[in-house]
Amino acid sequence: MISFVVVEDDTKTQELIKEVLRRTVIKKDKNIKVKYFTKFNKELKNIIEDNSVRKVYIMDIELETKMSGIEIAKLVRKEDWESEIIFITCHDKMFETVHRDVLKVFNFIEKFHDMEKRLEENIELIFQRKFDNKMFKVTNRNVDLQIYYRAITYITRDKEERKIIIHTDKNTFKLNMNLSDVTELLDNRFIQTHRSCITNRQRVHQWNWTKGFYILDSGEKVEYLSKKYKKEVEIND
Amino acid sequence: MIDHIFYYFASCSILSTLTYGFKLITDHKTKIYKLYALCIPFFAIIMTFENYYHLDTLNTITSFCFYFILYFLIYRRNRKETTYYGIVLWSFGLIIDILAMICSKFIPYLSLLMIRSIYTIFLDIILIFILRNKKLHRWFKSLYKKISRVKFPYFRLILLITILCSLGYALYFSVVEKNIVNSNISLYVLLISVLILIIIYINCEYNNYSLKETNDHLIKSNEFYITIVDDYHILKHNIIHQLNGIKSVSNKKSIQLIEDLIKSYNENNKCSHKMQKLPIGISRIVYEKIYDCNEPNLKLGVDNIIETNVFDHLSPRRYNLLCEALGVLLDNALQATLKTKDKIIMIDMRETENSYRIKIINTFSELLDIDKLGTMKYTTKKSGHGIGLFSIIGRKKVKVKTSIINDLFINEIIINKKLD
Repeated sequence: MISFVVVEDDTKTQELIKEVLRRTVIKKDKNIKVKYFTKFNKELKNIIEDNSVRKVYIMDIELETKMSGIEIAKLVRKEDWESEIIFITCHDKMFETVHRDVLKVFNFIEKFHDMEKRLEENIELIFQRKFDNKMFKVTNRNVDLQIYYRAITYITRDKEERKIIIHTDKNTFKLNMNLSDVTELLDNRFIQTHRSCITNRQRVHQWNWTKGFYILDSGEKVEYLSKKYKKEVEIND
Repeated sequence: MIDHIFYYFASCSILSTLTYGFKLITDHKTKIYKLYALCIPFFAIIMTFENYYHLDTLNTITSFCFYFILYFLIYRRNRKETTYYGIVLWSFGLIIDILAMICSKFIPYLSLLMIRSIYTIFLDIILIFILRNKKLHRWFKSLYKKISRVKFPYFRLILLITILCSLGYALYFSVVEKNIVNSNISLYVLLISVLILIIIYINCEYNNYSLKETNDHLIKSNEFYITIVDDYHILKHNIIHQLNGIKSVSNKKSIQLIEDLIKSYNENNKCSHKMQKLPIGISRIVYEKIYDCNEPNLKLGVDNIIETNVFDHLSPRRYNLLCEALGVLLDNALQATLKTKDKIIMIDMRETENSYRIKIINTFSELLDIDKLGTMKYTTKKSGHGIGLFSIIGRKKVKVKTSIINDLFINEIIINKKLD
């Protein structure tokens, strides 16, 4: 289930957002709930704390109350990393860059520059993504590790240290586990492609069975492809 | 007359012994101004004259002063050290004097002063051997280290009060023994000392007052600066807002021009909002670390909602631990984020009823061994690192929570408000 939460204190802008949502969301599915707020209150707090529903927050950064949009986003991200956040703003770019990554903001949309069109496009994109915010979570004595499934490209086994290595778009993590244990923590987009490799097939651009490698959507070439697993890959595809 | 000649030699002996003793006890290895040692016979003459005219109280004071003059002239060590070791050696001199006085009573054949002088010379030789003892040096050194932590004005005050008490004691005995010359001199010295005491007290008070005034002035200036920066941010924000409004009704060329203008407004601020509103002390650490790294592309965001004075809720020891943790984590965050394309650091400060919570969030791009993270000597930097995070993770008073969410490394420092 999905619901939309709009936090905007300017009535004119709120009306514009309402119109956009009517055209895009409610047209698609009448059961989708949309809640409107002008400030942070108890009801909004309860909605944020309810993790059973995935939400799309459309918020103004500068609210005329003590709690700004950024503060509300922080409250959302305290527990919930699966909902999407869109900011309606006239803030400067640097501020955006910082918060975009830190709070995993889907987008910052300028109020005075094609706001309606860009909001529509963003909502379409979110629907296309199907809220793919599933995470791989591991906790040990010192660190909590959480990675989006979609960010994981492949997982290999380090023979020397007997650890697994998780490869993501930007980073690599070593973990004291074995491949069979890690498979239980992943969903069916991850398939075994080699004796010592599990691959996120949604991220594979091209398979080359004859030469034993595949190319990821990022262009990276991975030489962990064995014919032994060809059937399994083709069935899942 | 011969008694006084003996007394002269005894004075020379004790002055020389204690001057040499200063060298031994302080392990003095730098330059010695030996020529000033010629003052010793001269000082001994003054002491003999004082003895000749029965100016015993004055004798005690002058001998005390002579030691210090000699130490300052010959060794030129710092005032605090010279005062400390001077008092130590003067106490040794006093003990020798008392011992010589006691011993002289057992030989009735010779004059009291002569016997006292002979004993003094004999005890001086023994003192040199005692002062050569290394254990004694170490003990005095450790005591000096403890004493040197006392603030100097108060140390001087304590010293002066001690002298005053001694003088009062001497004055009392002079009055009891009806020695008018001694009591008059003691009274003058007492008056002068009281005057000095008052001057020192006024000086201390004045220093405290001027320091308070300076602090108040600095705080006011800082508040004024914060208001100016706030005004600047509001002004900049409003201008951008208005420019965006104009942009919405402009043609393509004007849009490009306005976008360039907005970009130029945003390029010249290195740190984002509220940086200046960080708690005093913590802001200094953040500023130093950020400016030390000298990276123009670093994107730093600071959000602070700590409104109380950190020093009112944290004892100096806890504050120190907080600074240490913050320093280590900021260093790590900077090192890691500078290797990335985005170069983002976010510092998020907040407080609850019982604790302060500081979150440092940074981007990173490297191979991390999750199981080794935070253990001794594990590092992604060059070898020789890997102590920082390990050293703060095990602390009881400061908790550090580490988490990795996708490409963000998040460290949270939690410190309880306590004035222990």
